Amino acid sequence: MTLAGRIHEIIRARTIVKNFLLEDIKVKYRRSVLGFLWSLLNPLLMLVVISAAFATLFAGTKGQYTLHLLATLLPWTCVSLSIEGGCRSILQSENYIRQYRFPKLIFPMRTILFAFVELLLALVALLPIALFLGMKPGPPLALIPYAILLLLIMLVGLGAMASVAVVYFRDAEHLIGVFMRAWFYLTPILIPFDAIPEKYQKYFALNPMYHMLELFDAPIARGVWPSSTVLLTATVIAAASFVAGLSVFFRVEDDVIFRL
Amino acid sequence: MNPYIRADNISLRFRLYRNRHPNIKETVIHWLRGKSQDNGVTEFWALKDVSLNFPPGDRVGIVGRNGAGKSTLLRVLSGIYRPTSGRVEQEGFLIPLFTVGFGFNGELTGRENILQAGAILGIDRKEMTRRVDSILEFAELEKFADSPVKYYSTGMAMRLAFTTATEVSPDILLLDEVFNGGDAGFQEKALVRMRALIERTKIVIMVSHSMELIEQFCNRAIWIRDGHAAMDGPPKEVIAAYLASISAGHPADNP
Repeated sequence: MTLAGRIHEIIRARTIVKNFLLEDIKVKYRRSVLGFLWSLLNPLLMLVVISAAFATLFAGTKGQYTLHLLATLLPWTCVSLSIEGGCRSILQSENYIRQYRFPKLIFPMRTILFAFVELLLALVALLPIALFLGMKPGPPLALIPYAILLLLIMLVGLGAMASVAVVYFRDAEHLIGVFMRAWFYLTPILIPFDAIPEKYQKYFALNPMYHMLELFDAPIARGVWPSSTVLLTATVIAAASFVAGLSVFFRVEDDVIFRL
Repeated sequence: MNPYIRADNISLRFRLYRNRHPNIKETVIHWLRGKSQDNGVTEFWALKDVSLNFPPGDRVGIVGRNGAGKSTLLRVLSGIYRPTSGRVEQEGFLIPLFTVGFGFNGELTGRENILQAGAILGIDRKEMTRRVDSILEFAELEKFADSPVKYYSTGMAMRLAFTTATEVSPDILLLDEVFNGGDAGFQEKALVRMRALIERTKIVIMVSHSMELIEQFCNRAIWIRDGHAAMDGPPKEVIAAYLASISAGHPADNP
């Protein structure tokens, strides 16, 4: 099928994605008294635990360190949910795929968009806490929607690629899990970029995720604009992941059903 | 717009892998040792150069032995399988019903699942909302409409699935041995509903092992043998030839 044909099918299937998403949200928040509060308490408690543990290491910058954690941990959670959840998405949807013709991108999209719904809710809900911790709201915050958009574009590519990789190599799921854990520690989240010894900083700057998260970290934790290098790099990374991920995905999309 | 569906010289090759899901670990090890991995691929052609044309008004029954390629043909026509060569052209709203009740979400209520199924089948949510009550009524589930489907009995879930699936009004309907289920009383109702669905659909293609059903519903029959369309014509003649071939023990008709 042509690329235009595939895109057309995906656009036509958007109501299905919307329904899946509503369904997932309903299922998640139903039958729990605190409901949606849990998705806020969760990151909040994690922030408390981690910042308590690391506060001694970064004494003196306590408020700012917690802000940095908030600014990077929330998007990272979205990344890991999108990729680790995305890699199971096609396998889990086997029943649908066998019964009806779908543009298969809707299955990783379902997982990824759900991770973004949670990210948005958490960002909004933790806003008062960020202000309490000393966030200085300023013009750089206007960059956050763009940062979220770039993150989404990148994750659609990576999530789509992960979802088909696992169809062909079933042990890829475990490798992806290990990879994500390593990636977490190699990304300046627990240890802020500035706290890394200067001679190593250039290596950490090779990590694409550093640039992605810096788009959140600079405006939220430090109240400044990210450097233009970071902005440009993040944009290129997002676009490249999107194009690479989807070209792999579309190439094998029609073959996937024979490998389920 | 006149709906139609047409298959031009479609062939479908299946690859069967002895090692269906190679893992990265093995693949890398094999590669390091400098030999390619033997995944034991055997190929076979499930469909060979099939050309069929289905104009509006067709009620087609597809007959053939198990493994002859009947279900594969339906899956190619519905777009679930892309043919290895050849093409399928189609115009009109097509719905395949292969297994009733795919994708019910146990956590959601009967009502919510109906809406979800509607979305998957491409029915407008507003339109589906209007029809929910009549679906629940037919499935005799009004009292359980707002309970999660995971608490339904098998019979209840089947009634819900059947009723939801048959609520549609497609132009083209593909059926693969789906329709039974529920108790005797419901089965009778279900058959009437099925007949109504077939009557309002412009093109119906069904796979069935019930010659009775095909004679009753169809005005055309196709006999699929060994991946070919071996015969295409009035149901009575095709069925007679097919049954004769089975009792004569034609090699291609022995499983």
